[in-house]
Amino acid sequence: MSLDDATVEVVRGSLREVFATGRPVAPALDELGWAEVLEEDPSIATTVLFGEQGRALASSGLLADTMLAELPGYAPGTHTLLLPHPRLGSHPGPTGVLLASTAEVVVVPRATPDGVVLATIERSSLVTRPAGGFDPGSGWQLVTLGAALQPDSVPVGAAWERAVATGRRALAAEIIGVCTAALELAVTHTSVRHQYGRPLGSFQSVRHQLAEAHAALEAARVTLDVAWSAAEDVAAWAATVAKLRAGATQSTVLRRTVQVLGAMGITLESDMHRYVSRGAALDALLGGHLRLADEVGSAALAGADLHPVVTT
Amino acid sequence: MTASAPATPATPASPTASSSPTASSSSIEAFVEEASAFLDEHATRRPTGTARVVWGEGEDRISYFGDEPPEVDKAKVDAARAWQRTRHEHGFGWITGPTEYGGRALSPLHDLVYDQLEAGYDVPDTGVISLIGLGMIGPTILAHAREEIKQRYLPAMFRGDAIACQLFSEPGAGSDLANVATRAVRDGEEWVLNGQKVWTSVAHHAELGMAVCRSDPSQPKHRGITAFLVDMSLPGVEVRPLRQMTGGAEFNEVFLTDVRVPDDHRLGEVDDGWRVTMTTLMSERASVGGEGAGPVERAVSRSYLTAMLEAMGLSRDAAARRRLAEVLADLTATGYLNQQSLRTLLDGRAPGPEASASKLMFSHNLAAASHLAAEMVGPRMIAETGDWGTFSWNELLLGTPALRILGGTEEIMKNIIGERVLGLPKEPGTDTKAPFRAPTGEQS
Ligand SMILES: Cc1cc2nc3c(=O)[nH]c(=O)nc-3n(C[C@H](O)[C@H](O)[C@H](O)COP(=O)(O)OP(=O)(O)OC[C@H]3O[C@@H](n4cnc5c(N)ncnc54)[C@H](O)[C@@H]3O)c2cc1C
Repeated sequence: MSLDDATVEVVRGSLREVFATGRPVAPALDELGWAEVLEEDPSIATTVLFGEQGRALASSGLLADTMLAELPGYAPGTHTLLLPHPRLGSHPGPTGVLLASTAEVVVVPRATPDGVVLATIERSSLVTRPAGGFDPGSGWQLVTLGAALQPDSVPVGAAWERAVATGRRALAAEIIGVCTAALELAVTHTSVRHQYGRPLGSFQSVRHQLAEAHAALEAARVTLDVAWSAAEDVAAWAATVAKLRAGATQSTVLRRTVQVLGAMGITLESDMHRYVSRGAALDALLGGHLRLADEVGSAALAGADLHPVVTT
Repeated sequence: MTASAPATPATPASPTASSSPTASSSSIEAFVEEASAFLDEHATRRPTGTARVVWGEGEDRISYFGDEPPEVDKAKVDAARAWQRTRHEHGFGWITGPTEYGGRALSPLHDLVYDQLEAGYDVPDTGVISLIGLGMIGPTILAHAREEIKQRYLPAMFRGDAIACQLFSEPGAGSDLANVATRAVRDGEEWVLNGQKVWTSVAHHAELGMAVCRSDPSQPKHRGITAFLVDMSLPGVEVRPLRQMTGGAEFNEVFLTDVRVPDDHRLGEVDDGWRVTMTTLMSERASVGGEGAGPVERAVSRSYLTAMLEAMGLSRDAAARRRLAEVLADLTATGYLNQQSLRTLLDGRAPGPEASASKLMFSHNLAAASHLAAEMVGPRMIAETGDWGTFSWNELLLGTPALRILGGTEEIMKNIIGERVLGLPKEPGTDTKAPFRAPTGEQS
């Protein structure tokens, strides 16, 4: 089953409204009957949802919820997932990131020699500090866990891989949303602002930069589409490539959209800086593009089957 | 533009200031001895000069733009003023300047030698005074102001008493600076200024501003411009801070409302302000393209970057080594380019369009080094982990886009190289003959 274009537009419009009001996302989604939309067409639903979150520069616990849905036995809303710290890629370890979420129980993944195991812990018993720094608007909290593994740890096997793949597709969609909004801002600015008696966008070097940004963004979009339709045995691999592509794209796109705004692009007067820091922050979750490029390169050299991502 | 600057005024004052051959050839050895004695007495020598970077040791800040809280900022400006005064009192405040305005009338080579000596000492950063005021506006005053005005302001500026800012850009005039709309209307022996300037670095510390204004809207835009020196304490001058993406508030909006400027504060002839402005812009490109700032210079260096590769366990990684070598090769080439510009200056010629190449290389190098660091250091740059030399890079990474804009954007620098160096035809459709009309409506 899939959603038709008209329905997708209605859904997109409602989501845009939800994010624009800035109210808590989870209850608003319930009101919209999100569960049904998701069931109808998970790929489009997820892509639209995270795309809109990116565009709105909103922060929520949605990513953790989406990943939890792949892990049996945990209810989003009451539970949230501790994501691996950016330095760890997708490998859970002793430090992690909590997204903006009101859930009181935290599902903590840990890597063991026998695969990833999960434990739960009360949020109130975790020591957290704001991630701050690069993207103060993200609402992320950094968590350092004690050494001991929780007694109730349960192995999750391949479900962790599926959760990571889902998370990577969602992040790719969100990054694309951030970049789309940044490109729109740049297009509007360079169409309206005149220098030398002409709109900035009529200067070839300006339009070329924005055209390059657009091309990169389209490539990221189709790679994500392919990742959604990938067969189960290559789904994780395809999700990795989609996230890699989106991460590389935010660097390409945002460097250009900042530049064509001139001084405006580097001040807090314009939202452009928020796209820049959000794009970089999202790239860092579940494996930044440089790290993923390393992984994909190594896997290719080790003889991995690249289908459907690379065909020759 | 502003930056935590080279430790000393990087740009020797206008070549026209450089003096008689006797002064130029006055023994460098004696000068070195004198300067060393001065520095030994008034400053502490850095422990190891330009020592090797030991990973994890020393200050962990790599910021081109200051982003300190106002009290710290203020304290640094006070320290800069005090050090400039000390330099000045001992004859090192304006080495190339004419003696009648408090200079030493020595050659640009003396100036350079002094800079190099001073780099070995721990002295306050004087960028807030030197980059714009002494580096750009000083030479402009020297070339275009009346005698009484030179007497009045140049000594004060080079003594550190008067910080000067550049009131050029406006909401409607960025790259197209000749589009300035701030009106200057003559009223007897005074001019009345009205308009808005934007992105004005250091205006919040400045005693003096150089304002580029529209004096005759009926002439083509490059012709009806007149430049003035504006006392920033005059009624009608209002400075409001603007914040940068790095978090620092180093630039401002400046509103001019019925500001009455005496005619003797005019720079150059009436309606001939564009020529005056070019003097300033040429000095700007030369100084932005010049040396890097203290902490940046240290990080964007062979020693630092090599140590970083080793610390990240990547010194055997072929791709990392190649990227490092590329960055180092560019840094070296830029060094040569700057030496060449310096020779131009030593020959007594003004900096020309080739300064645009230095400026391009400079911002390219800083961007390349911070991207190399991003690759080496990885996500630790985004989320603070407390590891030395990792998160600190994001200050530079966030600061480099500004370097591609300030002092003329990268695209404009390329246009200048295309048109004035390579002699390519101008881009079509940029009209310079039609009379200026004040822009109608707000431009975004
Ligand atoms: C940190 C910082 C400090 C500054 N300090 C000062 C200061 O002290 N005093 C002062 O007066 N100003 C200052 N400026 C302003 C600076 O000079 C301007 O930002 C700069 O000239 C560009 O103008 P703009 O920002 O309006 O960009 P715009 O001119 O609007 O340019 C936007 C984009 O269009 C491109 N573009 C414009 N024209 C063309 C063309 N003909 N061909 C191709 N591309 C084109 C530009 O390259 C840029 O990418 C500062 C700027 C920064 C970032």
